[in-house]
Order: sequence, then structure tokens, then C-alpha cells
Amino acid sequence: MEIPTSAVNDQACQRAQNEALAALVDQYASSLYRVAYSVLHNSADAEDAVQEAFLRVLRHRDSLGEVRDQRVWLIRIVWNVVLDRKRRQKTRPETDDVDELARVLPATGLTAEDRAAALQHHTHVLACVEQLPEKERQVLQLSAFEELSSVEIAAVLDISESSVRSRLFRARNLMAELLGHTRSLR
Amino acid sequence: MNSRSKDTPASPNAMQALTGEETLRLIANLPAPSGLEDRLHRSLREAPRKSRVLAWPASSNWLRSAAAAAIVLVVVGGGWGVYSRVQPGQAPNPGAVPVRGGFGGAGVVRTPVTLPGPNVREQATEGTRNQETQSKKKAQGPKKNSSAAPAGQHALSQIPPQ
Repeated sequence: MEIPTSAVNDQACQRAQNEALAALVDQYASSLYRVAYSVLHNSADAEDAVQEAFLRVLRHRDSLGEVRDQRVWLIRIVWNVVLDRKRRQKTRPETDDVDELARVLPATGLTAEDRAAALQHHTHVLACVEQLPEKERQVLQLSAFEELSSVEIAAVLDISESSVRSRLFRARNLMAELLGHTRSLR
Repeated sequence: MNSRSKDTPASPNAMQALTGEETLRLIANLPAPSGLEDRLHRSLREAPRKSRVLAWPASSNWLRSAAAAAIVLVVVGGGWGVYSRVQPGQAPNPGAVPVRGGFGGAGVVRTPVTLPGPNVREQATEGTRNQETQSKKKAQGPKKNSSAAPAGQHALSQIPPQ
């Protein structure tokens, strides 16, 4: 029985797409996880978000070859997934995030007292970040990734580069005000 | 002259902001958990490869075209059926076209409110009543003589003698 040529071509195409997807996982899973974790502050949620992002890629793998910058494209996908999850997770208590932070933050060479103080400081900073307006907060969170340039942040958020700069400027000023205000209260 | 911008590290506010960004950078540089890639590979392998409900058979463009043509035919046929049954509406009254910026009359024809007209039935009854009273009066006259003569005779008595 002769196997049709189209079926052989389909199988070869599918195999090539699977290999490309596997290469994407190997190359960018770690970066995507860190992007997800920076917003969700929970390792299980971040891993789920990365998995969901790759499943979306799997569904649109036919258009994988048309993507110009795969890294930015993937970060954009995981960013949207993360924002969706963040909106749905409003009910989760923040104490979960603090416990998770205490578990993952580096604590080598720190006394228990220093560690507690650092944890308190980081928690306070994250609470201030949450108080920022959404647009400024997103730019500030993405700017924390050193591998992302302002052009790439603009591509992820689908805004212009000048908007990224102005939002970052506003975010830094707002953060300074929030942190200074709370320090003066203490 | 101080040429530093507002968010340079020299200002205390900027220092606080940078301290905040340090926290974000610290979180952004946290390592991914070990075995993340393996778990992702496994989940992608186990994921359904294609959608089952609307999956089209591969390399059957003619089937896809036929289905699309059938859908178009059904939609056009249904639309034509509705169009052919519905009668065209009344032509719009050009006098009822609203002034620009005003409200339209929606084709409503105004019927003036009229006062209640004369009751024809009552008049008719009054007329008949008058006629009845007149006939009664006429009838009462010969009634007085009815005791003297019967009705047949009275009728005869009114006939003038020839």
C-alpha cells in the first residue's frame, strides 16, 4: 500500500513544528517563568502561566515561522496570561505571597533578624508597587528585567518607546513618593 | 547649578525608588525551579494535538469549499425567502420629513379631535314621539264618539255624503 505524499509531508511538517516548540521551551522557559513570577509572586501559579502560554503557542504553531522576534512574542503571550490570572486571583490573601517570598529570596550570610527585616522591606516595596496605577506598574515590573530593552518593553505592552520612558519616569516618582510617605509615617 | 534630573540617584526620593527597583530586580532574577522544562515538555506532549469539534480533514479543500458554499446558499436562500414574503412598506410622506435636527413623525397621520356630534337617534325618537302624540290626539277625538258609534260607523260618518 502506497502512503500518500501529502500525509508524509504533513508528518514531517508536524515533527519540525514539535522540534521548534521544544527548542523554544528549552530556550525561553526560564525567562518566561521569571516574568510570570515577578507579577504573580507564586511559583506554582507562575509555572501554570508558563505552561498555559506554551499551550497557546502550540495551538498557533502553524504561524510560528512568521514570528520575527520569538522571545518578545513569547514574553507578550505569557504577560497576557499572567495579567488574566492576576485579575482572577484578587481574592487570594497577600500572606501567601509573603510566605512564598520568604521561601525563595536569597538568605545566605544574613542573620535571622536581617532576613526578617529584608523580607519586611521587600514586602513593603511590593505593596507600594501594587498601589501604582496599572500602566506605570506594568512598565516598572518589566523594566526590572535587565534583558528587556525599552524597545522590547514597548513591543510587549504594544505602546511606543516614548510612552515606556514617560511611564517609567512617572512610576519611579510615584514609588519614591509612596516609599517616602510611608517612611515619614514611621 | 544642579543639572541632575529628578530621578537621578543623588536625590533621596530617587534613592528610595531605586531601592524599590532593587526588590523588583531581585525577584526578576530569581532562578526558575528545577525540572521546569521537563514538566513543560511533558505537558505539551500530553496536550490534545488538534481541536476535535471543528477539525477539518487534512488536504480536503474541496470539502471546505463545498461546506462554505452550502452555508452561503442557506444564508442567501433564507434572506431571499424573508425578503420575498415581506411586503414593501408605505412610501414615506415627503411632508413628514423632519426638519434637520428635529424629530420625525414616523409616518403618523394626524386626525383632529372633533366635538361630539348631534345625537341623531334621540332626534329621531323625538320626531317619532311627536308623530305618536299627534296620532294619539287624532285617535282620542273619535274615541270620545266611540261610545256612540262603532269604529266602522265612525269611519263611514266621516265620508262626505255624495
